[in-house]
Amino acid sequence: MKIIVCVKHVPRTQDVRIDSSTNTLVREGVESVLNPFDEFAVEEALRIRERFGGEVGIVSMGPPQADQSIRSCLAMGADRGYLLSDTCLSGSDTLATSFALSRMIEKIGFDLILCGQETTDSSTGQVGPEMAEFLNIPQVTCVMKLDLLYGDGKTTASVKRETDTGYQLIETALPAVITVVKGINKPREPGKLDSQRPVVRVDAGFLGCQPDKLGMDGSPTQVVKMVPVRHRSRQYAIVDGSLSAAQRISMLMTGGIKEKAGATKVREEPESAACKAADLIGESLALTQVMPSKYH
Amino acid sequence: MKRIDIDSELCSRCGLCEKSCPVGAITLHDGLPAVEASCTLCGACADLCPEGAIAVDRSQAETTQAGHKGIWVFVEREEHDELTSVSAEILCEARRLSRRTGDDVTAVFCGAGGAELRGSLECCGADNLFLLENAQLEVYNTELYTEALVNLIARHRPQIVLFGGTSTGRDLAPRVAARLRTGLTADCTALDIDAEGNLVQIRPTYGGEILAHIICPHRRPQMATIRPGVMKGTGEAPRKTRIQVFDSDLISVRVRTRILEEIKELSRFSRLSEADVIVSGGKGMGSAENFKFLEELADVLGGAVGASRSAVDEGWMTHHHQVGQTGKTVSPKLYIACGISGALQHLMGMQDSKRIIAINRDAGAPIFKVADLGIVGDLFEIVPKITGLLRENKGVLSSR
Repeated sequence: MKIIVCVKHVPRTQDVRIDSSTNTLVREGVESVLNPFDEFAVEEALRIRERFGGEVGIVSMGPPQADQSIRSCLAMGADRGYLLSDTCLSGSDTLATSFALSRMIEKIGFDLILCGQETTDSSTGQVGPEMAEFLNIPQVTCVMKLDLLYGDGKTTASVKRETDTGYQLIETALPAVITVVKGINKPREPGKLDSQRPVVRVDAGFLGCQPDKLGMDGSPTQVVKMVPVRHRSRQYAIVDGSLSAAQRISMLMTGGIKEKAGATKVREEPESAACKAADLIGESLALTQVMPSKYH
Repeated sequence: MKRIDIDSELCSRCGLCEKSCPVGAITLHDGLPAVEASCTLCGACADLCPEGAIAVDRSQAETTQAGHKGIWVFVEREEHDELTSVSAEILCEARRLSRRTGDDVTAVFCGAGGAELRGSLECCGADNLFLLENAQLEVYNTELYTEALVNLIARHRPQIVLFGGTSTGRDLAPRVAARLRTGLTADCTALDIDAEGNLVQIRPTYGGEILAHIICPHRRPQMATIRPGVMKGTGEAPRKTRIQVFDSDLISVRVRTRILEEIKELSRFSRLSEADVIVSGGKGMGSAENFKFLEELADVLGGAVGASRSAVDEGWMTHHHQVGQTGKTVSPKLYIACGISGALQHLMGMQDSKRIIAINRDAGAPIFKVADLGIVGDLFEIVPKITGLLRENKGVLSSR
């Protein structure tokens, strides 16, 4: 069983800032890490290998530094790492990314592809399904439990897929793309980083495709503007060094929450308290015309 | 005007291109492909051609916009034949956008019983309902839904196709977009139309710190998934919704995934983002069983039941119910906090509720600072009394 896990090297989201003069991301001083959701996919791949044998290959597309994330997967126990890195790939949207990754994985060979449910930087969850389409294989997203079954000389996957209202039990032929949810397992701590273990680095030439399918040219979507969100909650953000000492003290005292104007606090018999509550419920739901008389 | 070139010298007449075309624009004549006007220049054929005999001229790609009309919304249904809230929200938004673009708004529904949605669709301002009726579409299956929807899109060429950011929408939309080789923006919180008539898709990124404005200028349809609960539609003047039924031919689809069972384990009490009323419990609830008091109250109010992180950590409620920074951020008309002290991370998830009632034994609990009405007392005495009072007026409440 050849398992490929797709991972991404992402900026720690709490470090991301925007340069208000240019409206572009400030990348200096922003530390990048393995996308936290991907740890669950790597762990799941390792568990499958432990039970059924095979090997776990880590695939990533990104700048040369992305090999740090691949290395931390190797330190968890993955067998091989592959990094697709080329300046012509920058500006790829999910379609161009999925196309490039699917080409890459096709060249490497695979029986099963695992992904995290989404990345913390762009949170689309689209690359898994789009790769599955390019590879013409089935997909199951948001998997909370994964088992492999052997029968009739074939391996199939039996999965539990989380939905908005519950779950689906699905059986899928392999190869397939499976994206796993956070919490499907408890990822192991990485062992010692071994700087000697090679990460195979390839450029876009490896994909053997027309350049207009890649990067900006291969991306149907364009980002036309980035604007910082004006968080009302900014004032509640964890008390950090950007605030003055006085602000920090006041925030610690109040918890950063402003007292609601007109807040009333009553301490009375359950009956009358319940009446007051029912009144307010009626008012909140615009039932004033009928309800109050009922309770007085 | 030639937009796609087929080199008959190189062509081995294998016929793969005909099969690869998502819109059925390639037909074979004596084994040689001929491209029809419905070609969207997606390049799927060129990708697949083993001989490299197909070249697509993308400089002309803009011309593929011509002839694309209509805003489509992939709508979903809840049990009891109701339109999901997010479907209604997107339809109202589509109606708003249509005033700028002049497009019709079309709801697309897969599976049985879609006609029963007509009433709600008329209220949301849908001009058309396209029904894909097929026994195979009764339960959501990625491969079958993709095939059915792509066929319909290829036939009718919509400008825009929108999906709810639901477990179905986020699974289906990328598959459809990839087959059509078009763009897809995930989890939009706002939409607009720019001066050139492009759909501007606005979404938070980098952990919500930044709003990205995204367009898809050269490919059609323009596709997006929409975050539930953010597009609060303005009341639409109801209009007549015309129903068209399509029988999708899915026989040729090789289905490699089988849905063995679909389990709805979440009660109506778990729909936090859609509820007008949320009755939430915290550590003061003391046990999982005691949440029944909150469910009874939520039941009378047609609301949902929430929980603080400590109640979830205790295992009294599942994470689907969690309100707060690490759970859901909610802003219902009314939030009733029972036995919740009001940790900062909880307050941040619910302080935008229009009205807040807090019931807690501890007069010093921080929750009282954000409450319109704070009741210092025993929730086990007070909550059932509120439920009782409201039940007496059940007729009034159910007429809402």
